[in-house]
Amino acid sequence: MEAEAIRDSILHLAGVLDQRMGGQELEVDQEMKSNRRSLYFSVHPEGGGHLQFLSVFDPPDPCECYRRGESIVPQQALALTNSELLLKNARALAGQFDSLGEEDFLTAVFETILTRLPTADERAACIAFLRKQEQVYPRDVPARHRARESLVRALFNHDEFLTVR
Amino acid sequence: MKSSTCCTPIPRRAFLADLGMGFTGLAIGALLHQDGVARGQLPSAAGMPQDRQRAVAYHHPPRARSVIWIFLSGGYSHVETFDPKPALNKYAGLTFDRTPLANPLTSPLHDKRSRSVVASEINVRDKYPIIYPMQVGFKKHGQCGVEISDWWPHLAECVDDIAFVRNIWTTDNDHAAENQIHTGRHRLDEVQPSIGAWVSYGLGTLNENLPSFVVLGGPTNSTTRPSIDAYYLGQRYAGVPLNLDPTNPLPYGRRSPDMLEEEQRNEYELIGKLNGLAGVRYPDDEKLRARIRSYELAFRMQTAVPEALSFAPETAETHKLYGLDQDNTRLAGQRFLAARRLVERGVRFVQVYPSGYGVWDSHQKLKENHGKLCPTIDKPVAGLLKDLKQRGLMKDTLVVFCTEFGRTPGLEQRGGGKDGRDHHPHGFTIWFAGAGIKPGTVYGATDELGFHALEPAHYVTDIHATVLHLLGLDSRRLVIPGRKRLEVDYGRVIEGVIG
Repeated sequence: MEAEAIRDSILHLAGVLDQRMGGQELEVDQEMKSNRRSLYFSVHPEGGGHLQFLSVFDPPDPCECYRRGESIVPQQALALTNSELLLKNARALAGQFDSLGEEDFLTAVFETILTRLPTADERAACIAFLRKQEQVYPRDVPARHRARESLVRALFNHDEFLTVR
Repeated sequence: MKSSTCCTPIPRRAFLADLGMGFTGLAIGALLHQDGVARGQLPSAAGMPQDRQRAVAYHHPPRARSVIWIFLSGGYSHVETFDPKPALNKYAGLTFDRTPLANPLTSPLHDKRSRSVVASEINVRDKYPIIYPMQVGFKKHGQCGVEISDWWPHLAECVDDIAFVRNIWTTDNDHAAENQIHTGRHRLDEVQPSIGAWVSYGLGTLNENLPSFVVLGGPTNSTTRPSIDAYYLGQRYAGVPLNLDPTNPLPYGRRSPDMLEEEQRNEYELIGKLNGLAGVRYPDDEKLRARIRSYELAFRMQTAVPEALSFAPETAETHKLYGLDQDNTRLAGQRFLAARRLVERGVRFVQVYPSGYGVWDSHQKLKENHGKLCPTIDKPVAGLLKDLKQRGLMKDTLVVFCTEFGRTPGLEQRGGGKDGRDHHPHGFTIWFAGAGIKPGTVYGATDELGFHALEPAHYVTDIHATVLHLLGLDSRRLVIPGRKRLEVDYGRVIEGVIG
């Protein structure tokens, strides 16, 4: 997917996408403060003319008229695991299903993010992951919450979320 | 190869894949690969990536392992750095037609090589007739007695390791020449992958934790991105710009402080596992494999990049050698030191911009401008050469030092100018040092006025051919099926600098 679609999808799935249309274009420094669609941010060829998150995902070049590339580079992986956009919204999404039991939680997040049910292999892998992850946290941290957030982050990095097949 | 009976419906994806680059494509791909022509990935049986540390298909034994490509943006004056022209002083103030020398403006070489882009005003650039004397003196240095200008006292100590090439030429007389020296193409022609991308593509990486093509400094201007882009080779071969701040070397390069290391490691492991399961369901999906690869590299880059760019383990002597202790040499020094560290760790191609975009472009006040800029690079680059030498890295590392064009022997008169030179693509100097290079040489020349590169002159792609040759690759055999390259793209190896 293009940069804008990825950002918008993450916000939408977390339930925070601001659907208002129209209005003044937003400056790039509003990146983390605004939940409006990526479309509304200004794009210009000078330095700092793209949202930082989008800049690693083949952002559009206002000086050109060619089809955008679809690169797959490690910088994207880093953006998708380390950016505040992802951390914040994964937390919000995990929070929405917090009261569910484990099996239902898995079904819910798979359905939300990947629009399908998990296969048996995937379920097994995720359950093993949750067990392993819960051991990692120190005592004063709510392990179950954090492990679930971590799982949601991993799903946002699934190829099926990032690609339209 | 997919096989099916006439009663089994062939999945559409597989059918189309077979028609396109499927079985036939695979066979051709394999044949071409054996001949060293194609360099694409061959899909592996399990659909999992197998190209980590893949064996490089060299075309002939390599002399160099890595390249440090140093680019000074704006066009340093060749006649005030590495190509002394006493005739400019002798005939200073005269027009070209008043000297006993052949008038370079009327030479057939003039229109044969240049390709001005904008009519009228810009064409005036090619026609400055009044000779402007050299603004600095030259002296012979080293055992080889090569002349270098007085603005490069530290580099002068290294001339015995350097091969200067004085007859490089290009065609663009404006700053798109910066892209031209990296891609070989004029701005009006289709862009091509940059030399760094070709090296990255042809050789792959030596260190699976770091990108194989790193960029330090520039391009700060979006118009110069072609200098590090990979175009049809694919983004994975494009240059990765790194900042020298070890706390933030690349965007999102560090995990968030409230995430635990093991937590993140488990997360990456799960991502790899889930994507791997998808890879079994979709074994032909190249992009999926690329994504799996990119996550593996990303995780390792988080620690490898800050480690490579940290100068704390370097001695105080090294800091001084590169000029890190002085304000005016610190920036270039840091970039060169980082380049050395990256090359030590197996990065193939480090493109260093030791100074800002266009700063060497001395249309006015050339003496003042160059006089101030040369010291910012001189000590650090000499430090790099000395450091490479004392660590035994010179024999494996090729250093290239270049700019986009030279400067006009004639005085720039646009806007009533009195003390500068304009852009000059017809002849300029670059130099090589290190692996496979004949040290202490001057190769090639410009005419007595420093105007035209004398035949057999070298177009910028000859620099590329030389670099690739020393790395064990033949530029003519680096071709992607379906992406025909022109004669001019391949270049000729500059045999005169090969040791």
